[in-house]
Amino acid sequence: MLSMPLPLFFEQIINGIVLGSMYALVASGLTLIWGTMRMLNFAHGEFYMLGGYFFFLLISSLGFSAALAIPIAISLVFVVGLAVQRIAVHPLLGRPQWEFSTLVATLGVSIFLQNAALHIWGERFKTVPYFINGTIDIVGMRLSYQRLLILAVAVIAMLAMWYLLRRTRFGMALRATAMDRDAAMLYGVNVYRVFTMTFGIAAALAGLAATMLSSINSISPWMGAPLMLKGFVVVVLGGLGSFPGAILGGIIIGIVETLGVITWSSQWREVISFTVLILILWFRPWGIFGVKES
Amino acid sequence: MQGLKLHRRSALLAVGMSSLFLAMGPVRAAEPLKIGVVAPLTGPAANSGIALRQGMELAADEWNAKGGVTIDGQKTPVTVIFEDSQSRPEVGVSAAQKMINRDKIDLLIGEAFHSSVTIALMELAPQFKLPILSGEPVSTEIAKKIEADPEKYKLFWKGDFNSEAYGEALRDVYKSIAASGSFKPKNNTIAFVVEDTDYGRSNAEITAELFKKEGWNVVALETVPLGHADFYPQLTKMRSLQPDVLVSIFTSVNSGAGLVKQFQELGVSALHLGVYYPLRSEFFDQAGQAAEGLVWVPMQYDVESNKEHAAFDKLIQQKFKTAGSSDHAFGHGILNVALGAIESAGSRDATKISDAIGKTNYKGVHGTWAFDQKNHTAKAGPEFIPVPAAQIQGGKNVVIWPEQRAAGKYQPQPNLR
Repeated sequence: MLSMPLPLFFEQIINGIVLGSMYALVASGLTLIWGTMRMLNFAHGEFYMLGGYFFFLLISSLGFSAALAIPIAISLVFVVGLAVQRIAVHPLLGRPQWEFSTLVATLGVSIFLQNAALHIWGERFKTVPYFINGTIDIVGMRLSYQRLLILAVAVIAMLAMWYLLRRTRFGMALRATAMDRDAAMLYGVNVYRVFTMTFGIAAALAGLAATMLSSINSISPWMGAPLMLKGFVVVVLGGLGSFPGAILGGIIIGIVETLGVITWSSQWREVISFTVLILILWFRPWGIFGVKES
Repeated sequence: MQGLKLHRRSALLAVGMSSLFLAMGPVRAAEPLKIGVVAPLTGPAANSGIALRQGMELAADEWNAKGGVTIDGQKTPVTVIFEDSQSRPEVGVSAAQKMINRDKIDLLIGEAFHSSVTIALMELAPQFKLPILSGEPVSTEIAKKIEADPEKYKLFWKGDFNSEAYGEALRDVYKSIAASGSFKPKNNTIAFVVEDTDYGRSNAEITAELFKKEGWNVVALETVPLGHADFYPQLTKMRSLQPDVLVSIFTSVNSGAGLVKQFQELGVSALHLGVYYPLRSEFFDQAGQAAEGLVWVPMQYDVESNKEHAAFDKLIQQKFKTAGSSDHAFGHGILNVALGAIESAGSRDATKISDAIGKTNYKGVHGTWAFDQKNHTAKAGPEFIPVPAAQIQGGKNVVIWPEQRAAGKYQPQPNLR
């Protein structure tokens, strides 16, 4: 790492931030669901996958521009998220052992969606073109416009989510539900509606990540699994249910992984990120922004 | 007395029935011949796994159209059972055990694609006394295990060549490029970006050793998960290390397409040699212009200049409504090797089938299968399974090595400065 020229070192840091921003986008959906509903959504990776396919269909088959295809694809994934919550999760809430039954239900949805995608779109990888081609050279660093756009979109999405959670009535209802579901109900919050909307928003965030990353990662029925696994790591690192935790956790993991590549080798990437996770959990078992349970 | 008569009658009936069954010959001969296949039918390698399956289905249909395989003088229809390994050894072993115990298969093709799954599956051959033939796996570790204990693995055969074939092809194509004066290394350094599988690691290690013997230094060996497609961290590292040659090895097309696109974006100046991924036609759709100039092995499927391949491609398109590929041709060939051996053996006996596989000399669309008796491995080379190198020129594959098969000459890669 020390022998690396400084501009390339900073280029690697930016690579890490871009990677981390995508981890954050995926993890924020997972943490939102955990924070509000106290459940893990194993179908989150498949929302990401559906976002990729919807985007591909809109761009390649229907000839939509990216500017139009992105919001439509995100809206479609949002609707799928709402439907999954109402059909597969909602009927189980409040029943005995619902924490486990919802987990199994989302796992079932995940398998169903993967196989449905395989049946409908086949096993071959699909791809979409970059939104912006080309690179920019700044003081010895070479940065791709596409990646800078991804970073910008992720930052805007995070700011929009912060606004939604902190400055809107729905955000207040969501935070109240997350703090104390029964008290929120007593104050007139329709918590079941909050749950459904939370699921939809989380799915939409995964859809947004897919539209941004499809040109890099390609689209396949199994594209969601690796990113979801990393999303879970980020959520635990940042603190279960913490939105700022998901953002910071994502950026930390992204930077640590890319610096690990230049210091050692790519094969240690996972080892490095899990070591960081273990070290942080050693000192803060509840994660960076998590709340210690009394 | 009456009781004794009845007893004698029953005994006579039993003897009669037994004689009748014996006269009917082995009952199993009438049963279909069952071939089990373990392949990655889901996951990042599914496009190859499904193509292999389609190739095998075509071969099975051809045999069944002729009445099947002759066993004990009787035509026996062929049934091929496919199970998904999900690219995971433990899933592959479980799927194979299910087919052995429940379906009572006569031969296993396992694994059809992954070396790592094959290394686990080959242990089932001595355990269940079952002939096993692997498909495309090339990891030399498989052959080494057979050589180390030939008695244990006497029923196991490796259906594709060893990693040395790729390594030697990469080294020799590089030498031919250097000899032409089109490329001059500055420091004799080589780097690898490969998938983290037995296939990727084995091919990289063997190639690295061969280049080291030529006086080269290996400056990086980067392994990434199967299906990984974001290579900016690895390529930024390459910009720092400035290797003369970069070798990339992936079975997943999206990995290869991602790498060549990002390689071009970041302007890495190294001679880029690829392994396997450009074999798939969808690679060109995904990589687009960025694929231009890439030198790669093995160019084993050439619809444009090989009439046999073109005819096979037509069959695949008619039956499956998809473009053919090297995987289709390999799947077709390997099932023909298996069924040809069973027909030669004329029996379901595991040892007889295994002996017949060893004597195989079958010319298929993919190449000619014959096995090295020392390590039970399919032979590589122009006379057997060929490993030619191609370069992408003007959006088309042009064979540039070996010289006797070359249709064109190496053109300097656009990224080289």
